[in-house]
Amino acid sequence: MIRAISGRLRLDMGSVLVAGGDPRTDSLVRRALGLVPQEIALYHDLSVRENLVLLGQLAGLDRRTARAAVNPALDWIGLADRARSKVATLSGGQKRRLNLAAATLHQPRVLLLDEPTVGIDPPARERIHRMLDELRHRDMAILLATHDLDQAAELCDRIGFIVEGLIRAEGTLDELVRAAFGDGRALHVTLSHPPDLVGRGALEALGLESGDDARRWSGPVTGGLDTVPQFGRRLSEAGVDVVEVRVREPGLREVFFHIAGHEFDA
Amino acid sequence: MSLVVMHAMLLGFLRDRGAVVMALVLPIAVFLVFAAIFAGASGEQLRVTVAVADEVRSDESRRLLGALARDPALSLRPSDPLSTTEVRRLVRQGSADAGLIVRRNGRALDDLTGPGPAPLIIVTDPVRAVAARVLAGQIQEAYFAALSDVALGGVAQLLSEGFVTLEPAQDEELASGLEALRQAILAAERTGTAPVSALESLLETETTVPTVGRSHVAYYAGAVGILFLLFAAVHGALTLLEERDAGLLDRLLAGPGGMDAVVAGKFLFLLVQGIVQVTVIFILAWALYGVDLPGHLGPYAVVTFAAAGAAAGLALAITTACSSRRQAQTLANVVVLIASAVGGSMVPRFFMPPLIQQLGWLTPTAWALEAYSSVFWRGDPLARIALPVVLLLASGALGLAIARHLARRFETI
Repeated sequence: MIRAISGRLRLDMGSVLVAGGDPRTDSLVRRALGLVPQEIALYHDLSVRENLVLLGQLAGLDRRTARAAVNPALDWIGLADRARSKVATLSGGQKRRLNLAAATLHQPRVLLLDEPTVGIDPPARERIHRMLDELRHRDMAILLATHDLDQAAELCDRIGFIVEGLIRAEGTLDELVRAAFGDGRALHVTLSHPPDLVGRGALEALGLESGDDARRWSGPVTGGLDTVPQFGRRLSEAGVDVVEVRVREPGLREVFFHIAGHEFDA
Repeated sequence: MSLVVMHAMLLGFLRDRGAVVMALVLPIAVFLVFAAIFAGASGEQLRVTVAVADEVRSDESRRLLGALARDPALSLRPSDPLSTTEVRRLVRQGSADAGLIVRRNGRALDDLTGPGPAPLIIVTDPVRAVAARVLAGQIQEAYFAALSDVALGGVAQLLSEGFVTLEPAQDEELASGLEALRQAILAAERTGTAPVSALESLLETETTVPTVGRSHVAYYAGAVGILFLLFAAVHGALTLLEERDAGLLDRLLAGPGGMDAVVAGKFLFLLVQGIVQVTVIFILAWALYGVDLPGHLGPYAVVTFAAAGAAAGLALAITTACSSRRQAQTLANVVVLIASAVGGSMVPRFFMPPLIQQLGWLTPTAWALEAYSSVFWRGDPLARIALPVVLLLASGALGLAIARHLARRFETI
């Protein structure tokens, strides 16, 4: 998807419009884009400052403007004291921050991020999150591709789920939760063994669904916590041997697994 | 945008000390080794080692071997007498380039017509056949110069037996004349003066380009320069695949310049790198060996520009034709080694069989070396090097166009 938006993918159907133009054919449109690839896409033998100047120029800035933009960027990513260091000598988190700064030096209108926090420790991840939060206020549209649902929930105004190449849901976190679970909570039921036909019928009658593992069922529950004992009783009457029943406030993970049709174990 | 890509490559190159050494110092070292090894490849310092067995030990055989021992083109070994078996063994082992046997049952050295086998045997090994030819030529020269009394006596005998019958008085006069000549030659040998010969040499040597200096060094400056030009260009071009694997190409292609800027920037860097690399070698050849670089600066610059462009185009075409760095490196090494061998970077093409010489014309190496030879050996003006230069420029442009076309595979997926 990132490649399609940045004009690198030959489309079988449909079209991509960014800032009113086609990024595949219009270099002005590409100038409005900033890309943070999943890899540390930097010149590892060059210094931090040289990387920023060169990548700024390659993104469309003239040399003078690129040089002027470097110091604020270094302050922003906290690498002013490492400006002369080779990229190869930086820590993983520092490289990730530089990777991000190199894509924003030219103040793109659209910033594309592909898994920007892969392989770094929690403090470094938090720092990237703060930087991305700051970027939201710079009149910059940000598209973040991630497998980290907590990250998406924390950072994104709107979230879309792509499952097997299709956008299956899109909206704010609240909208997504409400669409999947209504006002209810998520119910997770674990069985001692897969149910027989009668048991399966009872589970489905309660609005629960199972994925690959037929011992684990989940679904929305409405009517508050008072209704949970009734669930247990009805399943017991159907001969279903319940090991565990859990009810939780649904979040993005529950939405995702609900949409993807997979069982999950929180 | 291309200049920024070029600048990035230049900075990366300069930061990688190993790459700088590989590109600039290694060619110099190899050039110095090649220049030293092949200093005599044109024959100027040719010295054929000859194992000698003298079964006759006559006055004439000693004089002949003495004359050969004084020949600067030959090195007779060892000084103590060998048997014929030892001579053959030394040649077979490669300890001697060729062998010479003055055979016991052969004709006398002054007998050109009598019965019996030839008085001298040259022992040769097929691997060093040229050594036997050199030895044969030097023997004939020594025979007619240092033993001219013996040679003339043999000729007189031939004449008297087949063409005219000499009167006794004429026979005596001939014998006395030959003896006088023999004494004069021996006296000259004793005093170390120039040998007196009744037979003036048929040959006088004239050098076609007497003023250009050490032309074999100029040849190897070009040969080593082109060899490393190709290797360095390939390694520079490989950064395209490295940047693709590292995700950097994604970032560059998302920018406004696109693939055109990337390929053109790399081409420009390789062009400049190649020009610098070859020029360093030629400056060294000028400083150490007196190759007249300042005197041919214009044509040199044109040829070097064209050669560096051809190497850059070829390297980028090879790189973009491959889908992995490993593939590209293997293919490039094979192409560069074959082009360098057939094109004359390692051994001058005139040493090669005719078919290989013809095939050499398919390589940019041969065109570049032909152009450098024109400039430094023959001192030709620009007009005379037009063909190789145009071929180099055209192949560089073609390589760049092919690379640009093939790079589309990396551009869109």
